[in-house]
Amino acid sequence: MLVEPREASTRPRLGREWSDEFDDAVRGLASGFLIGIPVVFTVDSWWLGDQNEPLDSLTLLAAAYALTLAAVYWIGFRRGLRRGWQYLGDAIEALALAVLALVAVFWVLGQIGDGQAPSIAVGRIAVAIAPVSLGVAIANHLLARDASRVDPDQGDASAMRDSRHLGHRRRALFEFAASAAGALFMCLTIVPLDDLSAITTEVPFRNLPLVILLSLLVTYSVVFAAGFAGEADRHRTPGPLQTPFAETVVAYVAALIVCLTVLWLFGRIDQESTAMEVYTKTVLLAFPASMAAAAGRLAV
Amino acid sequence: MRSNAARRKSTAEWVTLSLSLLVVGALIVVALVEESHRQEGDAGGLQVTFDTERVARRGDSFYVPYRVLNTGSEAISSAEIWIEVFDGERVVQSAEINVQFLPLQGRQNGIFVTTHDPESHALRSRIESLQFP
Repeated sequence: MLVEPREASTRPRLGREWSDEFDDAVRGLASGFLIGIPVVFTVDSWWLGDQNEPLDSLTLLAAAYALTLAAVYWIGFRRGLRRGWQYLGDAIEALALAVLALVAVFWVLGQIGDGQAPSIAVGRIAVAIAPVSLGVAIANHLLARDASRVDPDQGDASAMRDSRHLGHRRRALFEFAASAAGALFMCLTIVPLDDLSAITTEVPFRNLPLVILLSLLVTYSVVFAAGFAGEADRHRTPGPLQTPFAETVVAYVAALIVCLTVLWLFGRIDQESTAMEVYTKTVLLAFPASMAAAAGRLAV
Repeated sequence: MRSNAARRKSTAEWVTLSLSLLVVGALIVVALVEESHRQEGDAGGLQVTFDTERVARRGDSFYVPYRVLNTGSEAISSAEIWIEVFDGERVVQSAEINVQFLPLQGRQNGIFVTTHDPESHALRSRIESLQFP
Protein backbone atom coordinates (compact mmCIF):
# COMPACT_ATOMS: atom_id res chain seq x y z
CA MET A 1 0.00 0.00 0.00
CA LEU A 2 1.30 3.44 -0.85
CA VAL A 3 1.17 5.94 1.98
CA GLU A 4 1.17 9.67 1.39
CA PRO A 5 3.98 11.47 3.25
CA ARG A 6 2.97 13.00 6.56
CA GLU A 7 1.38 16.43 6.28
CA ALA A 8 2.02 16.43 2.55
CA SER A 9 -0.69 18.21 0.63
CA THR A 10 -1.62 17.03 -2.82
CA ARG A 11 -0.09 18.96 -5.66
CA PRO A 12 -0.38 21.61 -6.94
CA ARG A 13 -0.40 23.74 -3.77
CA LEU A 14 -1.91 27.03 -4.85
CA GLY A 15 0.56 29.90 -4.79
CA ARG A 16 3.48 27.60 -3.93
CA GLU A 17 4.01 25.84 -7.25
CA TRP A 18 7.41 27.34 -7.99
CA SER A 19 8.78 27.13 -4.44
CA ASP A 20 7.58 23.51 -4.21
CA GLU A 21 9.37 22.74 -7.48
CA PHE A 22 12.54 24.41 -6.25
CA ASP A 23 12.39 22.66 -2.86
CA ASP A 24 11.81 19.25 -4.44
CA ALA A 25 14.65 19.76 -6.92
CA VAL A 26 17.21 20.95 -4.36
CA ARG A 27 16.17 18.27 -1.88
CA GLY A 28 16.51 15.64 -4.61
CA LEU A 29 19.91 17.01 -5.63
CA ALA A 30 21.17 16.96 -2.03
CA SER A 31 19.99 13.38 -1.57
CA GLY A 32 21.57 12.43 -4.90
CA PHE A 33 24.89 13.92 -3.81
CA LEU A 34 24.77 12.03 -0.50
CA ILE A 35 24.14 8.64 -2.11
CA GLY A 36 26.18 9.10 -5.28
CA ILE A 37 29.26 10.92 -4.10
CA PRO A 38 31.23 7.82 -3.01
CA VAL A 39 30.97 6.46 -6.57
CA VAL A 40 31.64 9.84 -8.17
CA PHE A 41 34.68 10.22 -5.94
CA THR A 42 36.32 7.02 -7.19
CA VAL A 43 38.89 7.50 -9.90
CA ASP A 44 38.29 3.95 -11.19
CA SER A 45 34.75 4.99 -12.13
CA TRP A 46 36.24 7.91 -14.11
CA TRP A 47 38.56 5.56 -15.99
CA LEU A 48 35.74 3.11 -16.60
CA GLY A 49 33.70 5.96 -18.05
CA ASP A 50 36.65 6.95 -20.26
CA GLN A 51 36.68 3.51 -21.84
CA ASN A 52 32.93 3.39 -22.37
CA GLU A 53 31.71 3.49 -25.94
CA PRO A 54 28.76 5.85 -26.50
CA LEU A 55 26.28 3.00 -27.03
CA ASP A 56 27.39 1.40 -23.73
CA SER A 57 26.74 4.75 -22.08
CA LEU A 58 23.21 4.85 -23.51
CA THR A 59 22.57 1.33 -22.18
CA LEU A 60 23.70 2.43 -18.71
CA LEU A 61 21.46 5.48 -18.99
CA ALA A 62 18.45 3.30 -19.86
CA ALA A 63 19.21 0.97 -16.93
CA ALA A 64 19.53 3.95 -14.60
CA TYR A 65 16.12 5.20 -15.79
CA ALA A 66 14.47 1.84 -15.07
CA LEU A 67 15.97 1.70 -11.56
CA THR A 68 15.05 5.32 -10.89
CA LEU A 69 11.47 4.73 -12.04
CA ALA A 70 11.12 1.88 -9.53
CA ALA A 71 12.56 4.03 -6.73
CA VAL A 72 10.37 7.01 -7.65
CA TYR A 73 7.29 4.76 -7.58
CA TRP A 74 7.98 3.43 -4.08
CA ILE A 75 9.59 6.46 -2.44
CA GLY A 76 10.06 9.51 -4.67
CA PHE A 77 11.40 13.00 -4.11
CA ARG A 78 8.30 15.12 -4.56
CA ARG A 79 5.83 16.54 -2.10
CA GLY A 80 2.42 14.87 -2.30
CA LEU A 81 1.04 11.68 -3.78
CA ARG A 82 1.83 11.01 -7.44
CA ARG A 83 -0.29 9.15 -9.90
CA GLY A 84 -0.03 7.19 -13.16
CA TRP A 85 2.23 8.66 -15.79
CA GLN A 86 3.53 11.32 -13.34
CA TYR A 87 5.96 8.65 -12.14
CA LEU A 88 7.48 8.50 -15.62
CA GLY A 89 7.99 12.27 -15.58
CA ASP A 90 9.41 12.21 -12.06
CA ALA A 91 11.94 9.55 -13.09
CA ILE A 92 13.03 11.72 -16.05
CA GLU A 93 13.39 14.68 -13.68
CA ALA A 94 15.44 12.60 -11.23
CA LEU A 95 17.68 11.53 -14.10
CA ALA A 96 18.06 15.13 -15.31
CA LEU A 97 18.91 16.31 -11.78
CA ALA A 98 21.54 13.57 -11.59
CA VAL A 99 23.00 14.67 -14.95
CA LEU A 100 23.17 18.29 -13.76
CA ALA A 101 24.73 17.25 -10.44
CA LEU A 102 27.37 15.16 -12.22
CA VAL A 103 28.12 17.90 -14.75
CA ALA A 104 28.65 20.32 -11.85
CA VAL A 105 30.89 17.91 -9.91
CA PHE A 106 32.98 16.80 -12.90
CA TRP A 107 33.31 20.38 -14.17
CA VAL A 108 34.44 21.62 -10.76
CA LEU A 109 36.95 18.76 -10.56
CA GLY A 110 38.23 19.68 -14.06
CA GLN A 111 37.18 16.31 -15.47
CA ILE A 112 34.85 17.57 -18.20
CA GLY A 113 34.77 20.79 -20.21
CA ASP A 114 38.51 21.27 -19.74
CA GLY A 115 39.62 20.09 -23.18
CA GLN A 116 38.18 16.59 -22.79
CA ALA A 117 36.14 15.09 -25.63
CA PRO A 118 32.31 14.95 -25.30
CA SER A 119 32.46 11.14 -25.33
CA ILE A 120 34.51 11.26 -22.11
CA ALA A 121 31.87 13.44 -20.45
CA VAL A 122 29.08 11.11 -21.58
CA GLY A 123 31.00 8.01 -20.41
CA ARG A 124 31.80 9.42 -16.98
CA ILE A 125 28.24 10.64 -16.44
CA ALA A 126 26.80 7.30 -17.57
CA VAL A 127 28.93 5.30 -15.13
CA ALA A 128 28.05 7.47 -12.13
CA ILE A 129 24.44 8.33 -12.96
CA ALA A 130 22.63 5.34 -11.42
CA PRO A 131 23.63 5.93 -7.77
CA VAL A 132 23.04 9.68 -8.05
CA SER A 133 19.60 9.38 -9.70
CA LEU A 134 18.63 6.68 -7.19
CA GLY A 135 19.70 9.08 -4.45
CA VAL A 136 17.44 11.74 -5.96
CA ALA A 137 14.57 9.25 -6.23
CA ILE A 138 14.68 8.26 -2.55
CA ALA A 139 14.93 11.80 -1.18
CA ASN A 140 11.60 11.47 0.63
CA HIS A 141 13.04 8.58 2.62
CA LEU A 142 16.62 9.78 3.10
CA LEU A 143 15.84 13.40 3.89
CA ALA A 144 12.26 13.22 5.07
CA ARG A 145 10.44 16.48 5.68
CA ASP A 146 9.49 17.44 9.21
CA ALA A 147 11.37 14.56 10.78
CA SER A 148 14.19 14.73 13.30
CA ARG A 149 14.17 17.62 15.75
CA VAL A 150 10.82 19.05 14.70
CA ASP A 151 8.85 15.84 14.93
CA PRO A 152 11.03 13.04 16.20
CA ASP A 153 9.71 9.57 16.90
CA GLN A 154 8.85 8.64 20.47
CA GLY A 155 11.88 7.12 22.16
CA ASP A 156 14.19 8.56 19.52
CA ALA A 157 17.43 9.89 21.04
CA SER A 158 16.83 13.36 19.63
CA ALA A 159 13.28 13.38 21.07
CA MET A 160 14.59 12.51 24.52
CA ARG A 161 17.29 15.14 24.20
CA ASP A 162 14.71 17.75 23.17
CA SER A 163 12.64 16.96 26.25
CA ARG A 164 15.64 18.00 28.37
CA HIS A 165 15.64 21.46 26.69
CA LEU A 166 19.29 21.68 25.80
CA GLY A 167 20.97 25.08 26.01
CA HIS A 168 22.36 26.75 22.89
CA ARG A 169 25.94 25.84 23.77
CA ARG A 170 25.09 22.19 24.39
CA ARG A 171 23.07 21.99 21.19
CA ALA A 172 25.87 23.60 19.18
CA LEU A 173 28.25 21.02 20.63
CA PHE A 174 25.90 18.17 19.72
CA GLU A 175 25.58 19.50 16.18
CA PHE A 176 29.32 19.89 15.77
CA ALA A 177 29.83 16.32 17.01
CA ALA A 178 27.14 15.08 14.60
CA SER A 179 28.86 16.88 11.71
CA ALA A 180 32.19 15.36 12.67
CA ALA A 181 30.61 11.90 12.89
CA GLY A 182 29.06 12.24 9.43
CA ALA A 183 32.36 13.42 7.95
CA LEU A 184 34.24 10.61 9.71
CA PHE A 185 31.85 8.02 8.27
CA MET A 186 32.55 9.27 4.73
CA CYS A 187 36.32 9.66 5.25
CA LEU A 188 36.65 6.10 6.53
CA THR A 189 35.14 4.79 3.29
CA ILE A 190 37.43 6.82 1.04
CA VAL A 191 40.85 7.28 2.65
CA PRO A 192 41.89 3.60 3.07
CA LEU A 193 41.38 2.97 -0.69
CA ASP A 194 44.01 5.53 -1.76
CA ASP A 195 41.83 6.82 -4.60
CA LEU A 196 42.55 10.23 -3.19
CA SER A 197 46.15 10.16 -4.45
CA ALA A 198 44.97 9.50 -8.01
CA ILE A 199 42.26 12.15 -7.74
CA THR A 200 44.80 14.64 -6.39
CA THR A 201 46.87 14.01 -9.52
CA GLU A 202 43.91 14.35 -11.87
CA VAL A 203 42.30 17.52 -10.46
CA PRO A 204 43.97 20.80 -11.55
CA PHE A 205 45.16 22.91 -8.60
CA ARG A 206 43.38 25.99 -9.99
CA ASN A 207 40.02 24.20 -9.52
CA LEU A 208 40.35 23.82 -5.73
CA PRO A 209 38.60 27.14 -4.89
CA LEU A 210 35.66 25.93 -7.00
CA VAL A 211 35.68 22.67 -5.05
CA ILE A 212 35.44 24.64 -1.78
CA LEU A 213 32.56 26.75 -3.15
CA LEU A 214 30.61 23.72 -4.35
CA SER A 215 31.20 21.97 -1.00
CA LEU A 216 29.74 24.96 0.86
CA LEU A 217 26.83 25.27 -1.55
CA VAL A 218 25.83 21.61 -1.25
CA THR A 219 26.31 21.68 2.53
CA TYR A 220 24.02 24.71 2.74
CA SER A 221 21.46 23.02 0.49
CA VAL A 222 21.40 19.84 2.55
CA VAL A 223 20.81 21.60 5.86
CA PHE A 224 18.77 24.65 4.98
CA ALA A 225 17.64 25.39 1.50
CA ALA A 226 15.26 22.61 0.62
CA GLY A 227 12.69 22.21 3.35
CA PHE A 228 14.49 19.36 5.04
CA ALA A 229 14.18 18.19 8.55
CA GLY A 230 13.89 21.11 10.93
CA GLU A 231 14.63 23.78 8.33
CA ALA A 232 12.03 26.22 9.65
CA ASP A 233 13.16 25.57 13.21
CA ARG A 234 16.76 26.24 12.24
CA HIS A 235 15.92 29.55 10.62
CA ARG A 236 14.05 30.59 13.79
CA THR A 237 16.62 29.48 16.36
CA PRO A 238 18.56 32.42 17.86
CA GLY A 239 22.32 32.43 18.58
CA PRO A 240 25.45 33.41 16.66
CA LEU A 241 26.10 29.85 15.45
CA GLN A 242 22.46 29.22 14.47
CA THR A 243 22.44 31.35 11.33
CA PRO A 244 22.39 29.46 8.04
CA PHE A 245 25.79 30.81 6.97
CA ALA A 246 27.46 30.09 10.33
CA GLU A 247 26.07 26.56 10.54
CA THR A 248 27.25 25.81 7.00
CA VAL A 249 30.75 27.09 7.74
CA VAL A 250 30.88 25.20 11.06
CA ALA A 251 29.86 21.97 9.28
CA TYR A 252 32.57 22.56 6.68
CA VAL A 253 35.20 23.31 9.30
CA ALA A 254 34.21 20.12 11.17
CA ALA A 255 34.67 18.21 7.90
CA LEU A 256 38.11 19.80 7.34
CA ILE A 257 39.29 18.86 10.84
CA VAL A 258 38.09 15.27 10.45
CA CYS A 259 39.69 15.02 6.98
CA LEU A 260 43.05 16.21 8.30
CA THR A 261 42.87 13.77 11.20
CA VAL A 262 41.90 10.74 9.09
CA LEU A 263 44.51 11.56 6.43
CA TRP A 264 47.15 11.71 9.14
CA LEU A 265 45.90 8.54 10.89
CA PHE A 266 46.09 6.54 7.65
CA GLY A 267 49.51 7.95 6.74
CA ARG A 268 48.28 9.84 3.67
CA ILE A 269 49.94 12.96 5.06
CA ASP A 270 52.79 13.24 7.53
CA GLN A 271 55.33 15.75 8.81
CA GLU A 272 57.24 15.54 5.51
CA SER A 273 54.19 16.41 3.37
CA THR A 274 54.31 19.85 1.79
CA ALA A 275 51.68 22.44 2.69
CA MET A 276 50.33 22.27 -0.88
CA GLU A 277 49.91 18.48 -0.70
CA VAL A 278 48.09 18.74 2.64
CA TYR A 279 45.88 21.54 1.31
CA THR A 280 45.01 19.68 -1.90
CA LYS A 281 44.18 16.37 -0.22
CA THR A 282 42.20 18.00 2.58
CA VAL A 283 40.10 20.22 0.29
CA LEU A 284 39.34 17.34 -2.09
CA LEU A 285 38.44 14.93 0.71
CA ALA A 286 36.35 17.61 2.42
CA PHE A 287 34.16 17.74 -0.70
CA PRO A 288 32.33 14.45 0.03
CA ALA A 289 32.98 14.71 3.77
CA SER A 290 31.22 18.07 4.11
CA MET A 291 28.09 16.63 2.50
CA ALA A 292 28.14 13.78 5.01
CA ALA A 293 28.79 16.33 7.78
CA ALA A 294 25.70 18.26 6.72
CA ALA A 295 23.66 15.04 6.69
CA GLY A 296 25.01 14.26 10.17
CA ARG A 297 23.58 17.54 11.49
CA LEU A 298 20.11 16.41 10.49
CA ALA A 299 20.36 13.55 12.95
CA VAL A 300 20.34 15.81 16.03
CA MET B 1 -12.94 18.53 -8.60
CA ARG B 2 -10.10 18.11 -6.13
CA SER B 3 -9.13 14.85 -7.79
CA ASN B 4 -8.96 16.51 -11.23
CA ALA B 5 -6.87 19.35 -9.82
CA ALA B 6 -4.51 16.82 -8.29
CA ARG B 7 -3.97 15.14 -11.64
CA ARG B 8 -3.38 18.41 -13.47
CA LYS B 9 0.22 19.57 -13.68
CA SER B 10 1.02 23.14 -12.70
CA THR B 11 2.98 25.43 -15.03
CA ALA B 12 6.00 25.00 -12.78
CA GLU B 13 5.82 21.23 -13.13
CA TRP B 14 5.50 21.45 -16.91
CA VAL B 15 8.53 23.76 -17.09
CA THR B 16 10.57 21.40 -14.88
CA LEU B 17 9.57 18.38 -16.95
CA SER B 18 10.39 20.17 -20.22
CA LEU B 19 13.82 21.23 -18.95
CA SER B 20 14.46 17.70 -17.70
CA LEU B 21 13.58 16.22 -21.09
CA LEU B 22 15.91 18.76 -22.67
CA VAL B 23 18.81 17.78 -20.37
CA VAL B 24 18.38 14.02 -20.81
CA GLY B 25 17.70 14.45 -24.53
CA ALA B 26 20.90 16.48 -24.94
CA LEU B 27 22.90 13.70 -23.27
CA ILE B 28 21.38 11.11 -25.62
CA VAL B 29 22.02 13.27 -28.70
CA VAL B 30 25.68 13.82 -27.72
CA ALA B 31 26.11 10.06 -27.22
CA LEU B 32 24.57 9.31 -30.64
CA VAL B 33 26.71 11.94 -32.40
CA GLU B 34 29.85 10.53 -30.73
CA GLU B 35 28.82 7.02 -31.75
CA SER B 36 28.45 8.08 -35.40
CA HIS B 37 31.90 9.72 -35.28
CA ARG B 38 33.31 6.57 -33.74
CA GLN B 39 31.90 4.34 -36.48
CA GLU B 40 33.45 6.54 -39.16
CA GLY B 41 36.97 6.18 -37.72
CA ASP B 42 39.49 3.29 -37.74
CA ALA B 43 40.51 1.44 -34.62
CA GLY B 44 44.02 2.07 -33.43
CA GLY B 45 44.53 5.63 -34.61
CA LEU B 46 47.18 7.29 -32.50
CA GLN B 47 48.81 10.64 -33.12
CA VAL B 48 51.98 11.87 -31.41
CA THR B 49 52.92 15.54 -31.78
CA PHE B 50 55.98 17.34 -30.43
CA ASP B 51 55.73 20.96 -29.40
CA THR B 52 59.19 22.13 -30.48
CA GLU B 53 58.19 25.76 -29.86
CA ARG B 54 58.08 25.18 -26.10
CA VAL B 55 61.35 23.29 -25.62
CA ALA B 56 63.10 24.10 -22.34
CA ARG B 57 66.83 23.68 -21.90
CA ARG B 58 68.20 22.62 -18.52
CA GLY B 59 71.93 22.03 -18.49
CA ASP B 60 72.73 19.57 -21.28
CA SER B 61 69.17 18.33 -21.60
CA PHE B 62 66.29 19.53 -23.75
CA TYR B 63 62.74 19.06 -22.40
CA VAL B 64 60.37 18.59 -25.34
CA PRO B 65 56.59 18.60 -24.60
CA TYR B 66 54.60 16.01 -26.53
CA ARG B 67 50.97 15.02 -26.81
CA VAL B 68 49.55 11.57 -27.59
CA LEU B 69 46.02 11.73 -29.02
CA ASN B 70 43.71 8.78 -29.61
CA THR B 71 42.16 9.53 -33.00
CA GLY B 72 40.81 6.01 -33.47
CA SER B 73 37.36 4.56 -32.98
CA GLU B 74 38.16 2.59 -29.82
CA ALA B 75 39.47 3.41 -26.39
CA ILE B 76 43.06 2.23 -25.83
CA SER B 77 44.02 0.60 -22.56
CA SER B 78 47.75 0.60 -23.26
CA ALA B 79 50.08 1.86 -26.01
CA GLU B 80 53.83 1.43 -26.50
CA ILE B 81 55.42 4.18 -28.56
CA TRP B 82 59.03 4.58 -29.66
CA ILE B 83 60.41 8.08 -29.93
CA GLU B 84 63.49 8.41 -32.10
CA VAL B 85 65.85 11.37 -32.52
CA PHE B 86 67.38 11.62 -35.99
CA ASP B 87 70.57 13.35 -37.04
CA GLY B 88 69.93 13.39 -40.78
CA GLU B 89 69.03 9.76 -41.54
CA ARG B 90 70.87 8.33 -38.53
CA VAL B 91 69.10 7.50 -35.29
CA VAL B 92 71.12 9.00 -32.44
CA GLN B 93 68.70 8.36 -29.58
CA SER B 94 65.59 6.29 -29.02
CA ALA B 95 63.32 5.75 -26.08
CA GLU B 96 60.06 3.96 -25.36
CA ILE B 97 57.07 5.60 -23.72
CA ASN B 98 54.09 3.73 -22.36
CA VAL B 99 50.66 5.34 -22.28
CA GLN B 100 47.78 3.90 -20.22
CA PHE B 101 44.04 4.51 -20.57
CA LEU B 102 43.47 6.66 -23.62
CA PRO B 103 39.70 7.12 -24.07
CA LEU B 104 38.08 8.04 -27.36
CA GLN B 105 39.71 11.33 -28.42
CA GLY B 106 41.60 11.15 -25.16
CA ARG B 107 44.98 12.80 -24.83
CA GLN B 108 48.05 12.34 -22.70
CA ASN B 109 50.62 15.08 -22.33
CA GLY B 110 54.22 14.46 -21.36
CA ILE B 111 57.78 15.65 -21.75
CA PHE B 112 60.50 13.82 -23.67
CA VAL B 113 64.02 14.53 -22.42
CA THR B 114 66.87 14.38 -24.90
CA THR B 115 70.47 15.53 -24.97
CA HIS B 116 70.17 16.47 -28.66
CA ASP B 117 68.99 19.93 -29.66
CA PRO B 118 65.54 19.55 -31.34
CA GLU B 119 66.33 22.55 -33.55
CA SER B 120 69.09 20.63 -35.32
CA HIS B 121 67.59 17.13 -34.94
CA ALA B 122 64.31 15.58 -36.04
CA LEU B 123 61.95 13.87 -33.59
CA ARG B 124 59.76 11.05 -34.89
CA SER B 125 57.42 8.60 -33.22
CA ARG B 126 56.56 5.01 -34.06
CA ILE B 127 53.71 2.93 -32.63
CA GLU B 128 55.05 -0.35 -31.27
CA SER B 129 51.85 -1.95 -29.95
CA LEU B 130 48.33 -1.14 -28.82
CA GLN B 131 46.02 -2.90 -26.38
CA PHE B 132 42.28 -2.41 -26.20
CA PRO B 133 39.99 -2.84 -23.16
